[in-house]
Amino acid sequence: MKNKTISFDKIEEKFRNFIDSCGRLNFFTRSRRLQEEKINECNEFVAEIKGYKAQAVEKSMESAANEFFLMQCVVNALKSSLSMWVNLKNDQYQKAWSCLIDAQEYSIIALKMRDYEGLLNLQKQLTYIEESVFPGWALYNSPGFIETVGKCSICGKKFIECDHIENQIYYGSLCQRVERKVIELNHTAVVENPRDKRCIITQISDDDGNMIDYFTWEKTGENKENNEGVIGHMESVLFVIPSLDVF
Amino acid sequence: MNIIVEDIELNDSRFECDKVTILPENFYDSDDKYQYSSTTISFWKYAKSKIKIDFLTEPELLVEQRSGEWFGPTILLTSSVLTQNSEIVSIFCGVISNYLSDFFKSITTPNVKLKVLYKETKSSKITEISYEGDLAGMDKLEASILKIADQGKYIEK
Repeated sequence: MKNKTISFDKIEEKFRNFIDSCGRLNFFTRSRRLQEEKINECNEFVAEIKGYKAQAVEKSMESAANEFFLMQCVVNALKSSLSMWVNLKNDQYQKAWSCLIDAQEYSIIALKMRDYEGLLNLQKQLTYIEESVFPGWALYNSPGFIETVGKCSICGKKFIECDHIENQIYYGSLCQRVERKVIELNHTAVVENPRDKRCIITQISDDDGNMIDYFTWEKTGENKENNEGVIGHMESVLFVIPSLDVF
Repeated sequence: MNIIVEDIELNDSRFECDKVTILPENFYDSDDKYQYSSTTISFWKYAKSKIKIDFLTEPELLVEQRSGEWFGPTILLTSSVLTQNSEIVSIFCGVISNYLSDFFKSITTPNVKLKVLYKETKSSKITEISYEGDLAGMDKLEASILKIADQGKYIEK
């Protein structure tokens, strides 16, 4: 079978056209069906980009691999944003919120490589959505724990033994410590400025102990007794295992 | 920006170091297993090409705090390190600023929290300087360390 070849310029052109098509659907009023179809196309396009990236890595072309990683992050940001709209339409508000934070984090990683107007505009759009579509949280959870050092996601060595630095990009992948074992969860704090904005308060109680969904403000039907000295109750997300596609 | 300076007494030979040393967060408790701030290994990898810096012991356990602040390492500086290189404080503060600018590229640089312990050689006196603030205040941290070092006349003649 003959291998097909494609130039980098052609891939870039395809990428630009693809993200334009995503951008056109990146609004609440656009059809859920079209948004779901585009999410599937995003998955296929990310797989295609990763294929090109693997070839660049194989040929030790780090800057090309990083360019493909930039495309991967931008498409994933748009996919997450589209998923947010679909989840909102399905009344899946907590999932929608997580998708928004995914989109923001993908855009932050992409901007580490290069900033350009389209990406900066997407980042602004995501901030506006955060402020206008969701209720906003004054406080978030911030757990603290003791963990092992783990391994490097880039080279697989013990993280102390290599020269890769966390949060830097090498050959189209974000360096992270992986295979970390939590030894002890030693505290959790409530903070204004969390590392992970997915760690939100999801339910609070009113004066009578009725639990209220923080997204919808509807009573959940659950009632918790306000014992002496208890100001109120809340349910919240303490910790989320990171699952961004950054490899 | 907030800088707190405190004197502590630690008569301990572990702190006779001739290079910038990263201490565990529970350095005062040698019976316990040492725990380093989770940011320290990457910071050490970045800094070691610019200054002589090492860990007190090889890190095995890390303290991960998932708030938005950057919980930096606890650093030990001794008067003998300053004797070898009087610019070391300035270089060290510059390394932290550059590392964080790089690390948090494309997002707002967070509040920084870190501690510097300054120890006069052949003395049990240690001064702990705790810094909390933004990157713009790093020059104040530098000034605080130098002021304490100057009081002790770190350059041994």
